[in-house]
Amino acid sequence: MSKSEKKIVLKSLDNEAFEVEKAVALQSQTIWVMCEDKCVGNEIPLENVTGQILAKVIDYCKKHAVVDGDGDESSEELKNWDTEFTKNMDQSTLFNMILAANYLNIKSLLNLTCQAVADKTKTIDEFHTFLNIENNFTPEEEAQICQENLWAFDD
Amino acid sequence: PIPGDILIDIFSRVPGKSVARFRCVSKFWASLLRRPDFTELFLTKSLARPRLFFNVRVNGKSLFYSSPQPQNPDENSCLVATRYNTPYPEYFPYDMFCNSSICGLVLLCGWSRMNVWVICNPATGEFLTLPKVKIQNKHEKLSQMYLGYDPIGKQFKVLCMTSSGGDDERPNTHQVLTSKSGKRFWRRIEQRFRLYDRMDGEVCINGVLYFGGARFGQPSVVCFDVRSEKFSFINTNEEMGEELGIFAWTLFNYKGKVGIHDWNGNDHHLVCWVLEDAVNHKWSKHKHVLPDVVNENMMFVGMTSTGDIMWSLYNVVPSNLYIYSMERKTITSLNIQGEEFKDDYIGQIFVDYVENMKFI
Repeated sequence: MSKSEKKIVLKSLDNEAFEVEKAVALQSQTIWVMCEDKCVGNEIPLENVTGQILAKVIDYCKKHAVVDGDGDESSEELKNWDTEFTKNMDQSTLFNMILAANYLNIKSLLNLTCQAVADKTKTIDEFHTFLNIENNFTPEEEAQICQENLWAFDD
Repeated sequence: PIPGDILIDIFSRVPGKSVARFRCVSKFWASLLRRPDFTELFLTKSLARPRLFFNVRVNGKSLFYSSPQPQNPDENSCLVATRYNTPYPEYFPYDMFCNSSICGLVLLCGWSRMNVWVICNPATGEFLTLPKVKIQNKHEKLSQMYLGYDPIGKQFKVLCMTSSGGDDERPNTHQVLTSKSGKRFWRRIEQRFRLYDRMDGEVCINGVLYFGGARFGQPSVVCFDVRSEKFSFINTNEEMGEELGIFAWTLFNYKGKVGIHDWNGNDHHLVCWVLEDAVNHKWSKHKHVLPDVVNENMMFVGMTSTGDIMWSLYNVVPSNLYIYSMERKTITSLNIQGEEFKDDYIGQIFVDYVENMKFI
């Protein structure tokens, strides 16, 4: 296998190209299937992911490709790295990461980002804003359901 | 937009209190977050993040709290406790006592009125008063209720044990309550036997409920298979039954095995017996030297799923919890954040509490 075959080029929605090791990219089930099918060349277009998000996904995959399969100490280190990775992401980045992880089918990244959103979404307003959900209760219904769940708002 | 199944995944990861909060978001979410497929997923995720459960008596009323269960806590770590909704029925005795907790449900009984038994799901705020037990034989009385869970049939059952007093050697009849859609009734179990001198504590592991007492003069552990409703027994051996015997014993979950904590005058040692082979009645002994901080005012609470042992200071304000790491051989004191914990006693504490959003 020549050197170039070990590498793969991922192209984002906004035409940004990333050259990565195959082992890094193949953590994505979606990319893995594309490579298996041999229906693409060395360059894989990812029509649902922007360059900004793809760069972060690649960071994650690089980290996990290097450390996976090692001893306990490194899994602890990896956990800390994961925490830091999502810690300062704003909600919109996190949501785009979730969409990308889902589209690329990277289960561990999907788990990580879903947990991060779960940890960060605390108020109803955050829920409305970030999930783009409309409050369709009538005032009476809303009063009733809030009364039923009143205890959940005491802190 | 994020696909619906991912949203469901996200909300199965939030604390129970947030689920209640998010039901107020929209009609769609109000119904979705009540659906059995959501509550089932929530329970699965919940099992992976066990919590501490405790009740606190504030102004004569029992309030329920839970907090994340600490892992590798620092010295003087602080626990952030969440309070649950406790809309007690009016007829409730004011002095409810938490007996046990399994898979998110808590079994309560009235301290002054032992005949009132209640199942509560703190995460949903539901209370269910158990039907009165009818005991047919005059020489028998209700001795204890136990709550068990069958993870295969996903079913809770309550076991009601009776006993007869003094030297009465006659076998007793025990009953079981099945919580099945809407209908609840006590059924007598065919197997009859006499158990007396109750051992403290009970555990339910993989659908088998374990509790202890004396049979034919020997301390024994009773196994009740929640699914088949069959009893079996595990004997203790002579080496275990020294001094105070079973009155100093507490049954607990030792990393998925049945453990007995032995407080027989071992102030500076932690002595545990762990069941290695139920068929051959084989127990192993575990002895650890404890730091000086541990004293007779501390109550053994149990062992967390990660193998740390918890103690609480008995009837002391402010309430304090201690966690002992067997691996690092260190003890750490934990404070609970909040005004109510400065002035009021913590009653019972359970480790490995699992939030369960299913309705009873």
